[in-house]
Amino acid sequence: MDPFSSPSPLDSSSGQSAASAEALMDQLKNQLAQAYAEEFFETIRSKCFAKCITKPGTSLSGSESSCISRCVDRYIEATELDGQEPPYKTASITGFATLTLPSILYLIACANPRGKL
Amino acid sequence: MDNSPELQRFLEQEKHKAMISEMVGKLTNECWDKCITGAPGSKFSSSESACLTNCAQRCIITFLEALEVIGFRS
Repeated sequence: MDPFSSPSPLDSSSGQSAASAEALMDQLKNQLAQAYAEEFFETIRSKCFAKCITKPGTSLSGSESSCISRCVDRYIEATELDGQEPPYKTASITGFATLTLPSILYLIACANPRGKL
Repeated sequence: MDNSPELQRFLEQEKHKAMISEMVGKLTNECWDKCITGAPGSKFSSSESACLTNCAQRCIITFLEALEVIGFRS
């Protein structure tokens, strides 16, 4: 391709380069955002399990549920205080926090007297 | 496309953002442990929020200032 000619509508190679560079950047951004969100969520899960589940039973009690709900909200608030935009801001995470598979497995393992899944 | 300056600049920015993100995550993690001693309430008590603010301010600003001194500007 002649470097001195302007790209014609039929010359799509530079267009493709720009488009695929942009696609790559978007993909990288998404992957980083995803990784950050997963780590953030796991931190919250761990903290709130420690704070709220003191004596695991066979199911989540009402007070444990509301403790987890408050804990998630407070941790998100603490993250905002530190000037960081949390990946989740809606209250729907509170239900999420109790129902993800690692949390369920952890709760089941604690509830089982033999300590096995 | 592979080594375009735009892509390089983008990667540097994302790396910088990821560093800050990780640092703030660790900070929040540790300050939470230090400051929220009991069960979480429906809002922070005044001593809890003062503790979190102090913890954050002392550590994060010092760290960012240190980064600037080293020459890593945002």
